[in-house]
Amino acid sequence: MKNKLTVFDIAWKNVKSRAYRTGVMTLFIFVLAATLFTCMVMLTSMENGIESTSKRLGADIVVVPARYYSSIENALFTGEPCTVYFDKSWVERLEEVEGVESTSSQLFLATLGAECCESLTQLIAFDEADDFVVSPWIKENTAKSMTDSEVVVGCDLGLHEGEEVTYYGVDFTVAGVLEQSGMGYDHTVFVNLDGARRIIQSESAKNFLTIQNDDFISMVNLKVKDGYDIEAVSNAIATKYEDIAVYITSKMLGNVEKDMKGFSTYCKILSVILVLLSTIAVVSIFSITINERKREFGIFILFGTSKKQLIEIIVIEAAIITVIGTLAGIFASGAVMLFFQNLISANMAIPYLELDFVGMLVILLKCILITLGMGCVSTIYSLINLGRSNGVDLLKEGE
Amino acid sequence: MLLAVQNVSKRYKHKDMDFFAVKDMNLTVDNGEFIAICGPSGSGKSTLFHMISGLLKPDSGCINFQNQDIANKNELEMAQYRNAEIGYVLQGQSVLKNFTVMENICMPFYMSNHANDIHNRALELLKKVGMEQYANSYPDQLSGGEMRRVAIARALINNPKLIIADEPTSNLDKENAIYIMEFLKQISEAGIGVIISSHDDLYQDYADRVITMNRGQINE
Ligand SMILES: Nc1ncnc2c1ncn2[C@@H]1O[C@H](COP(=O)(O)OP(=O)(O)OP(=O)(O)O)[C@@H](O)[C@H]1O
Ligand SMILES: [Mg+2]
Repeated sequence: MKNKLTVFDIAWKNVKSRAYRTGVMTLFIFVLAATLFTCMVMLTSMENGIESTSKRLGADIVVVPARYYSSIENALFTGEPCTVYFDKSWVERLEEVEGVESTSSQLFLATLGAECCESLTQLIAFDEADDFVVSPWIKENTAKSMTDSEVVVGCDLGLHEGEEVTYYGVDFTVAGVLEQSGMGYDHTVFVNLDGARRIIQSESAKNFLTIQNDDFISMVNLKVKDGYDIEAVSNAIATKYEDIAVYITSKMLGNVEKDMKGFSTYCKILSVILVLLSTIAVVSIFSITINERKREFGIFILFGTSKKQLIEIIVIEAAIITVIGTLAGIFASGAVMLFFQNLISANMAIPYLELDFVGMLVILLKCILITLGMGCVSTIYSLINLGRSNGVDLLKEGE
Repeated sequence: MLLAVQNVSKRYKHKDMDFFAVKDMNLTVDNGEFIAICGPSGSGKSTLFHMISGLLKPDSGCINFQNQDIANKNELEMAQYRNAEIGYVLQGQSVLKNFTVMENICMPFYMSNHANDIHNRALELLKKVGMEQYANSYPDQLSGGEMRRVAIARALINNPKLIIADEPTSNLDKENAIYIMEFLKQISEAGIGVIISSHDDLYQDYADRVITMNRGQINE
């Protein structure tokens, strides 16, 4: 025979026996916790992504061929491959513009079904001599400069250091894997100009690439001299030259931030509505059941249960339901996000940087706090309700 | 004197009417005494019992248990009084549905601060009310008479000095009613004070004293 039943055992048996009530309340808290957790994790990931992108972009102004117009953001933020070129001479022309301090150019090569990758991969060639955009980052990660038979790859390509990869029949060694940036660079392969030349000159590339020599570039990054207004310089370029598109990087990010703000507002409204709805739902279920249970509590009081013990039973019951609902909701949301991780980050035209353990933990605690808070509100509400009815009211046979 | 109810009154307002549910009630119960309170429905029996249990405060008069006014007890002392001094059998059904017969019977003990093993005592009580084979059953498997016996066994678990049973025989067939009255008689013979209520006078022969109530007052 089991030992003495504690208040916890009693609460636990009550929760277990009222399967329907327990189920409905747990479901509400489950949905609430899952939504809160999903929203918070996605929003924070986006914020991190944008922060990391602004760190990564490195340039004040980006110049690309005019035809590029629709895809520059996609190329940068989601890594969508693109191949548009203009003449290398643009670099010099841009350097002549007043206020431009330095330039560095990039050449984009999209690879079709290379052995390593199922899908199209973006290859970016940069000039190690003048590049100030990706080189510092690559140096941070690999601590050496590259040879013409080496590539450095983004973290999402599934490649490892030392591995051999072939692009257009040209063999490369993976010299390093970059840390996650949350933007298109995570799906990008970086080569230096000499490496790019090897590709362009290869036999198989001739069938695919529209350029036959390395006199072309895809993008010019500009740094503006101190004391010059970035917007003014950008306008100067735009009015001086046609056939090119000029972007201010901070503005590009601004657009993304706007998108994110929209999503964030949506998330916040949804969360507030959900918190309110579930609070109302849980409070009502709680008070209805407490009303139904008055006689039960009356019986407890008549055989000498103190107020403190009775409150303990009610609070533990609420805590069990809240904790189970919250943990299940967070777990389910976490599992779904983990499962669809790549889909989520690929489908959002927003840089998306996954959270580290501490970031996750902070959000987890926030969610638990909110749902527990809600559990408390409904419990306190019911307790007040119960406290208002005096002794004999409890004994009415309501059940 | 175990229990002394002195000039106790309780008034209720019902719509515009103001009336006494219990009026100038006097009652004493000694150790081992078996008292039956008879009266029609609405005569104030349950109201009187609720006041004795401390669940309801009288408007006037006092209730002394072992020569102490129960009105002076604080919240915790009141819980202890209900837990250890008296055993209350509620009118109607009062078995907790989510708990087994055994757990129901032991519940007042679990609510006390004692830690010794109650299992043997509970089994002994179950045997006395003829329910030992149901120890691990849930109440939905029991008949009304069986549940009544469980409620009485539960009232006895902490060795109270007084048993208050509100209509313990209502809704029971004759056989079950007699079983319960005989059991209550045995209890009183063992030295425990017993007060029961009933709205008919079928089983009054078991009581040492019968008090008839009408409209909140004793019928002389
Ligand atoms: N909380 C209350 N408010 C107003 N009137 C009440 C309240 N409780 C009881 N009464 C009234 O007090 C009177 C006595 O009720 P009580 O329950 O004590 O009768 P009873 O003798 O136990 O009846 P029964 O045999 O039906 O159980 C009744 O008229 C009842 O309507
Ligand atoms: Mg009654």
